[in-house]
Amino acid sequence: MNDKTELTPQTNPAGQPPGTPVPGQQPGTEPQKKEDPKKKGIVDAIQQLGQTNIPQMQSNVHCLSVIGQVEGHLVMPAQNKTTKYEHVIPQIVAAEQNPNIEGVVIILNTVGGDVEAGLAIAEMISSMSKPTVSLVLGGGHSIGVPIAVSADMSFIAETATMTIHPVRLTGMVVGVPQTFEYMEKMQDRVIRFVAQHSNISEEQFRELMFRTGELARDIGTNVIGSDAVNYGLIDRVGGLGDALAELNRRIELNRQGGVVQ
Amino acid sequence: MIHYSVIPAEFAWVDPSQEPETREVEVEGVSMLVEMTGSGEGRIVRLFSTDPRHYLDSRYQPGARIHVQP
Repeated sequence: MNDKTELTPQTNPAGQPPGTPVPGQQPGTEPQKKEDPKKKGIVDAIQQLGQTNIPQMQSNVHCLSVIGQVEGHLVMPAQNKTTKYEHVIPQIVAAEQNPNIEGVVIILNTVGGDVEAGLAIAEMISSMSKPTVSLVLGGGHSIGVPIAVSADMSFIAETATMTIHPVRLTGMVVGVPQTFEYMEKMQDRVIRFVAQHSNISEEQFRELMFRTGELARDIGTNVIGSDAVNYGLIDRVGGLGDALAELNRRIELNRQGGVVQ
Repeated sequence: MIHYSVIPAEFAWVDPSQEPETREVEVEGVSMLVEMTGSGEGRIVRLFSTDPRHYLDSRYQPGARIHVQP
């Protein structure tokens, strides 16, 4: 109690509501009246500070959740749940910059989205100097795949899935061969990034992407939990406990100045 | 723009006619999406913050009412 009063000298130590007589002091006496303006000030301060309802522990791990659609240059209609480029990029910069943050866990449950924005987020995560661990829960589809593999270590839940399918062009398309070449280049960017940041080869990933007979209405493959690990796309099958244990292990190694691998 | 998603573009890019007014605000260092219910008052839709401790704060739970600077 004494410690607390010392730490927060501004607050009412007895925790009494305003106007309650202080023990040992007669109500209605001269000193009581004199103290009134000061008491009011204290009450105001308390109202402005708000209530402390949880212990204010500092977390050394920050959580970046990529949910719904990855949104890029165009704002998506309101019925889409989106993860916005302009939110995520500064958050990654802040996490890299803040000395109190020692690691980042990336939680994915995404249906994909903008290629440029997705690749940008993936590049930002992969170039972070602090330990990063990703966890695919539910789904990490399409452009979620490069984001999932961009972390130092990736996890996938037993039931989570990842759909790998060809990149498509939407909207008005100029019907010239160059359009196709451009699209192929975009697709190669995704394939190359995934191959470079995971244990899957470019050929294997391409094969999964163009496989027929797996998806009902599309070309491609849906890999579930351990399948993703068997293909080398994701490092391990696991949940939150595994992911955080791995992140903490890497943070500890980082603190000791060891090479994290 | 190239959209790489499992949700077909014709579903994702349909604009609904009615949508509530939402605003991105920062309250005491916590960035959040707020659905405006009146002038200076709103209901929290979701937090954008990456700090896990903000998600434990009962004042910032989704659905909680919050005062927003108009």
